[in-house]
Amino acid sequence: MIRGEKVDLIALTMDYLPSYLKWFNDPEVTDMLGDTRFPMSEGKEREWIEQQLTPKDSYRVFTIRTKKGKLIGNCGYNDIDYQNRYVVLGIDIGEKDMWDNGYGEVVIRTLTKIAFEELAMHKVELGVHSTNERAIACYKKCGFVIEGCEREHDFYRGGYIDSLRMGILKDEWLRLKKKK
Amino acid sequence: MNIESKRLMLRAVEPDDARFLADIINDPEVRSILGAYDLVFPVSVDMEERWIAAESKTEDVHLIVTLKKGSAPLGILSLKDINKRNGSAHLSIILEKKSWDRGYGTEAVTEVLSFLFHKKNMHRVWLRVAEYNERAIACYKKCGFKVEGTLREDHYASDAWHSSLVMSVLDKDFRRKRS
Repeated sequence: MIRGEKVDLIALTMDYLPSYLKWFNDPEVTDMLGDTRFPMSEGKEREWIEQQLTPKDSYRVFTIRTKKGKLIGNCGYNDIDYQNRYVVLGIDIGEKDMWDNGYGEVVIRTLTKIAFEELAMHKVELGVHSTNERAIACYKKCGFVIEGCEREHDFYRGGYIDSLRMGILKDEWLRLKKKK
Repeated sequence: MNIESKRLMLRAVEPDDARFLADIINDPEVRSILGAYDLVFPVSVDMEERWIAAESKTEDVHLIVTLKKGSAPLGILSLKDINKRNGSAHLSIILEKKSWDRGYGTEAVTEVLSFLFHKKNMHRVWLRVAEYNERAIACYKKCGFKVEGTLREDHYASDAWHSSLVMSVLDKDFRRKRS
C-alpha cells in the first residue's frame, strides 16, 4: 500500500471487480481516457484484472481508496521505462461524485513522489486532452509543465482534438519540494 | 547487435558454444581460480547445451568474447541479477587459458561497463572474486572496480576454506575515470 494524503493507493484484487466494472462502463469516465470502449462484460473485466495480478516491470495499476475505505478509482504508471528513467502517469476517478474534491491532485502528487523517491526516475510525464481544463489545471498545480501538443491526436465526441504532453523533471520537483 | 572494442567482439551465447564452455570449465587451471563459481564436478557438452537452453528463458545475459579477427571464442562474460529499478547487475567473466595476460579481460569488461553505463543508463555493477585470484582483481581494479567487502570463507577448495572479495563500480566512478 502506498500512503498518500486523503487516499491510499492499494494493489488490485479480484474483490474490486464490481467497482472496476462500474467505472469502466461509465462513458463519462472512460471517454476522458482517450479510449471509448464497448460495453465491458464481467468476464472481460475479470480477465483484465487477472492480467494485472501477474505484475510486469513495464506498467502497474493501483486502486485509489479514501481514508474512509471507499474505492473511488484507479491510477498507476502506464509506462515504466527504467532505462530512460521516466514514467507515464494514468489516473481515473471512477466515482463521479468524488470529482472536484482534490483527489486527483493528491493521487498525482503521490505517484510523482514515489516515481522520484523510490523508482529513481528522472522525469514524470502524462498526456491529457487539450479540452480537459480541469485536469490541466490540476497537473499544473502539481508542477507539471506543458511540453508539447500532439495535434489532433485523439478522436473524441465526433472530432479530432489535440492532446497535450505534460511533464516534470526531477530537479524541478526538488525545487518545488524545497519551497514548501 | 554485438558489442565491439578495439580488438574484441562480444556476441550472444548460442547452442553451438556448448563445447567451448565445457572445455574451459573443465580446464583444471581455469577452474582453480573460479572459487566464486562453485565449480567442483566436470561438465559435459550435453550439460552445457541444456544450460544454454535454460538460460535463454531467463533475464540473465551471457556474451561470448571473440576476437574481431576470427570467430573462435575466447571466453564468456555474464550479467546476472539485473535489477532494473536499482540499475544494478552482477558481472562475471571467464577466459580460456591461452587468452590470459593479453589485456582481453580488461578490454572486454571496460567495453561492457561503457555499454551498461552510457547506453543502458545503469548505476552499479558488482562482482565476486576469489581473494587469491590476483590476476582478476588487478584487472577489475583497472576497469574501475573498488573492493567493498570480504565474504569470509565462502568457499571450500583444496582442503581449505577461502574467502571472496566483493567489488563494485558505480556510474559516477566510471565517468570520472574516463574523463
